[in-house]
Amino acid sequence: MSVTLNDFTISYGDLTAVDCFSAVLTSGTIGLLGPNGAGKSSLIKGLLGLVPLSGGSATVLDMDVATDPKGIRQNIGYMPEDDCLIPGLTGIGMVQYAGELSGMGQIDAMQRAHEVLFLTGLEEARYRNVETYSAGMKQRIKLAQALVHDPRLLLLDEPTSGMDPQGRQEMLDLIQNISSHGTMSIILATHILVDVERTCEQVLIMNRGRVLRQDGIEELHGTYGGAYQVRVEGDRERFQADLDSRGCKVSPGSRQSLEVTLPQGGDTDLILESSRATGVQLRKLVSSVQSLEDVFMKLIVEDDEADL
Amino acid sequence: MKPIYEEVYRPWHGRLVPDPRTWLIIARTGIRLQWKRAMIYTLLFSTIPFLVRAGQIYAATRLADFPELAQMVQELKIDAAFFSGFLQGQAFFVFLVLIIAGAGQIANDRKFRALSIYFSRPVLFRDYISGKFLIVGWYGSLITLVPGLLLFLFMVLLSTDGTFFSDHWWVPLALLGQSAIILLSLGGVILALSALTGRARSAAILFFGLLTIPEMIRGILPGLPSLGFVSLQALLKQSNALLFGQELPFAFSAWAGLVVLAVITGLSLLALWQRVRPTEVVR
Repeated sequence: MSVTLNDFTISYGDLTAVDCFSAVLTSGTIGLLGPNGAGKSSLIKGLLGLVPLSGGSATVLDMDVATDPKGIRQNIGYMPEDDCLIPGLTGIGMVQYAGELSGMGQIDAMQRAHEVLFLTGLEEARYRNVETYSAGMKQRIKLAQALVHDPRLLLLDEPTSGMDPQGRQEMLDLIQNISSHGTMSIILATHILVDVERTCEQVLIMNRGRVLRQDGIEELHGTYGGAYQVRVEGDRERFQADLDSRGCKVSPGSRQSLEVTLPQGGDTDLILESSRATGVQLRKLVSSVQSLEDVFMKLIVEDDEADL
Repeated sequence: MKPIYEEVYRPWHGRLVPDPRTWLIIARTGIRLQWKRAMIYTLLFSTIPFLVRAGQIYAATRLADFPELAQMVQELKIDAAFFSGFLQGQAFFVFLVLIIAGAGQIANDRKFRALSIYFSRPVLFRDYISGKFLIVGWYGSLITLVPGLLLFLFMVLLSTDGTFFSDHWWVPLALLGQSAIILLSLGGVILALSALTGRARSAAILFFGLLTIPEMIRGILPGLPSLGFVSLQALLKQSNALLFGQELPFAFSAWAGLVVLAVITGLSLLALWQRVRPTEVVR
């Protein structure tokens, strides 16, 4: 078990950034999804012991956040959201330094620094001073310093922020690469849904410091019970009325299509029969899958409305 | 054709050994980073007074046999005051070295948000601060303690009868004590200013102001001996005189002066504790 949180609370004065957060984050790649200000970064900083807990408790890799922050930090790789550099050092120097600070020997840290800089695509720039790096390169060096000691848990805070589309794709490829070839668990905090969809197995959606939903990507994508998107050419009203009479629930969908929910035990033959009976031409019949964005927007809107 | 080497993530199979001397890693890297042109020139120029003093020691011990030089040699008295004077003469170079090594030390880490890299690893506040102190202490001691001890050793080696050592065996301890006082108090102040201002240039200007303005005020109002307590220069001169057994230059208690220096170091540490945080909360 990677992370267990019990009523985990972080406050900055009157502002509660993480509010009685309880969750169990198992191993694998987990997306921490939420709008800006949802408390994702505060949660990560709280797990690292960088900000004090205002209440509750948490264990990371079976170590208590309150009593063993040093042990936790030794086993975690953290890629912060902001640009973080150690001024005056070259790329290789900075990653080696990060490795040594994590408990690696000088030679091991140097060898490993070369390895992770190759992996992150900074091999050409590794002898350049880090202050001269572009925004994309700064993101990569942050990832490299987080990976150098091969942590058991990798915390990535907005890893694609400030990157151009190609750089973003490459960063996501890298995360997938690490996730599939490494042994570490990854927690990826972001507000970009596509990043989570592309890299994570599980998602934890949060808003205003609270958990709204935690589930596997597949489960969140789950189909509505027998729901289909249907587009027809011909008398739409008649087709809709016929489907209604056969026990289907019909509602207007996007781009002149209809969202058809079949009755219990019904199958697509019902739609085909109805189109034949009403003489409409069936142009589209696809299973209606709810996207992560649908779920995310629905949960955030519901949560915001509940608070009004 | 398949690539001969596929770039995939490869786990590291080594073992992480928690090093209790993280401060040493921080200091080692910081010392290497500060070895830049300005520092090298300052260290080179600081050897001039050292060479002059070494020449004085040579003249005092080796030229006494020449009758035509006897008068001059008699005036070159090598005693505790000689070493005390040497340390006081290094004040300008100490100031320069502390500015070069210390002004940007924490300011740049804050500017580039490096603190979250340090503190997301098994690095504690005391490791970080000890490492930073060691950087300024290392360069500061190259101007104060190291040449002072070398001069003492030179004198011991050149004195033929051994009386110099038996009379002045405590001078190395005084050199060590005074160098520690200078570097802890001034080093603490420059690091605190570096952390408080967040800009190397501002820290350097404030440091210059803190060293010179109270001293100027003290000079303008010589009738107020208690003003010596607010002048870092006066406090350090007073402690120098106390440790080397010289007549006190100011009319305030040297022990009280040492307490004030300790308070200044304590306040500097408090400022560092307040400002050296892994994350800054914007309210």
